[in-house]
Amino acid sequence: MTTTTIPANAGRTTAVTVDRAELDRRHAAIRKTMVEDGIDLLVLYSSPLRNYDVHFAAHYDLIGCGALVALPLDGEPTLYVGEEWDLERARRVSPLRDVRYEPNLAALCGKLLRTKNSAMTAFEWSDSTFAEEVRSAAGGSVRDASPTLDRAARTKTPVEQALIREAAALADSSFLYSFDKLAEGMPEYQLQAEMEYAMRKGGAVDNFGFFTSGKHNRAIGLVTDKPIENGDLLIFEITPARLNRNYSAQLCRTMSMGAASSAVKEKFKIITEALEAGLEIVKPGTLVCDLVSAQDSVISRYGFGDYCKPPYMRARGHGFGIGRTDLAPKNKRQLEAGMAMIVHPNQYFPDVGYLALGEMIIVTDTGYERLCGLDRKVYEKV
Amino acid sequence: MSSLVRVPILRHGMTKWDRELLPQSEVDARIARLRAAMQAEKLDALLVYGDMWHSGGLAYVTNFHPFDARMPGFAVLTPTLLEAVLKVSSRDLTFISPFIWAPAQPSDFLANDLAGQVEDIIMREGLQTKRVGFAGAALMPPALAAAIKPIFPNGTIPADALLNALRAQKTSAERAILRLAATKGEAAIAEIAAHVAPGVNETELAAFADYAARKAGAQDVEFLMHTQGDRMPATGNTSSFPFRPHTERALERGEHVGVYLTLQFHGYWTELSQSVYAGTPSAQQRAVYDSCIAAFDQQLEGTKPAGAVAVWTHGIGLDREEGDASVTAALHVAAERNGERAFYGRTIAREPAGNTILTASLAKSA
Repeated sequence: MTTTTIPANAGRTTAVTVDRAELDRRHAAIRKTMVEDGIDLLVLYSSPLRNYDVHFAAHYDLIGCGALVALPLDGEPTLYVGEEWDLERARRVSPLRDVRYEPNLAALCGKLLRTKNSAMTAFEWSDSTFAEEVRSAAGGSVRDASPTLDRAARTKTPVEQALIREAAALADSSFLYSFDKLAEGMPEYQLQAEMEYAMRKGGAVDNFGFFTSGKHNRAIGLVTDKPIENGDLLIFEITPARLNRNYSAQLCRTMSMGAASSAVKEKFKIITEALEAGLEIVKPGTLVCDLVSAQDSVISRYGFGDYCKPPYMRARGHGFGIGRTDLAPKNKRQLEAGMAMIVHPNQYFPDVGYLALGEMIIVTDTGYERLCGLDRKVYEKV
Repeated sequence: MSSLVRVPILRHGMTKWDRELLPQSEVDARIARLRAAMQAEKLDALLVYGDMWHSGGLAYVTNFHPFDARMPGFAVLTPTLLEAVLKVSSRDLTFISPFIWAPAQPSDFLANDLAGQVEDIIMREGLQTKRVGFAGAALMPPALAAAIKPIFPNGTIPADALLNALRAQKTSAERAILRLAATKGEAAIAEIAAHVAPGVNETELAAFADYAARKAGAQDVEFLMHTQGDRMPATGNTSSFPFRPHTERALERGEHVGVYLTLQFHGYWTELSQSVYAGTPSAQQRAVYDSCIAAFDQQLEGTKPAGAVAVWTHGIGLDREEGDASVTAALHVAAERNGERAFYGRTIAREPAGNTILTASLAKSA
């Protein structure tokens, strides 16, 4: 058996720099949608529940209660941080020239929103106390500009794509590292700790990570102290984030503790075929709902159509952070070059339970770039 | 007051309801105390809101810790009923159910009818015009707040103080969990200190710290650090916070690093800070560290620390909320002399007889 070690620089496969030029590119994309929506001043707000609006516009990771970026149609944007003790760090990490401390973000927000043709993102991610103060200071209702920002961020810049590639490489390497560490009797949470160590050491800042083990899994959940037993299937939905949630890459795979049964392998072939059928039609202009039905139709053809809808299934993939697209059956949006998403025909089967298979892609001008370098198989620990 | 708040993408560490640590009898007693407090305030019902940012109140009543920012929830408590509505899919509820003690109904986040489901319970129980206490009302997002408000034509009664007062008084079972969490934190800090060496970069150190906590069974983890160029806290300013996320810089030989680790175990947070050194600390570094420890001890005993130190504390419970009302609190001390800095902080219990630290022994050596 070969031993997988954590590469010293696992996630740093490209030299990615988020500098002022990169922020200028993002601001230009935002300003384009601001013009389309008739917005002259956009307030990008982040609460701890949604830290990625400000990160996108200012490359500042919130560690306090709130921050905002005031982005005029013309002129210099300003980053306001809500914590005086974090101001120095904010000035160090953000390429923006104007970074300030603001003790009352709600009042400032409301004041900014008094500007003609102004709007705010992420208002619904604040709390009602903050929201009332904003409304009061703004002198009325608040125009929600989250869709404006989402449209601007839907396709990724080359730098963002590079970060997502790094995250995908981390997903692969941490998965293989944990497969190497997997041992019978190990509690789920300890295997996850091993995986996450590899991920974070390589540069992941967080992980949208689900993992469940069992003889017949009904869904992928959070880890428990259940020991991994011989005959268990281990299903993973792991998602390292580089710098911020916006630059996440997901990987869905299945391991088997011991040899996988022929029934498991047979069902895994079905979802592999579904994944390939979905990817086959990925290109600019393809409707998201068609990408979903391409996967579902394969699974239905094998007689499991009833399990392609809730409560068994919700979406066949999605993006991350701002500008995310859900691969949901009713989504009529067209794919565009530069979109990044996971395509995952994860599927419940009545005989073998839930199996996981999914890969991160970036839509290109002619098709897609596969970011996952792993085999499409059940990883058997024998 | 502003403070450190970092909400992870997903609260994804070990999830468990350990019935030996927190038996059903403990839960029953907790709910009975809540009902007694409701009766004292002449409340017919208590409505509790929680989300991933403010999870403590909802977790106290149901043991549901929202693990995704899109998944808030409510609990409704009456003299005869405890029921929850959680914005999770029915598939997720299947997973969550063994870990919560309140019967719960799912509220699919695509359907977005959380308020409607709360209204159904309120109407079914005939509570819409009764005296309903509401804890967490100010924490709701604006659209949800607007949808909840009309359910109660006579309004609701703020009940945050009622709930917080009960949460602040830790039972012996809760203290046992807090001690266990503190012990796990202590062990993790010792591992982190042993891992620090010249050439180790901050990313690697943060990854290892996260690993040390997660493999010990942490439900959630945060690791931050302080190096020479960072800003020191001001004495008495409890909102001042000297720690920051890691960078990719490698540690230099002899360098002092202030490390901050907070971990959640079985719903309960513990918090630690300490100085560690990349190599053997100098005599001057040891002297400053010793003065920091002495100041911590003095603060713990309730006497005013001497020397150039900053002391800051905040309450710590199911939420990392600030304030001195909590029976448990994080006490941190920072010291600086001739350009050398030191940190030491632990979770303490405030007892009538005096403050005690929540671990049996103190890892005070530099």
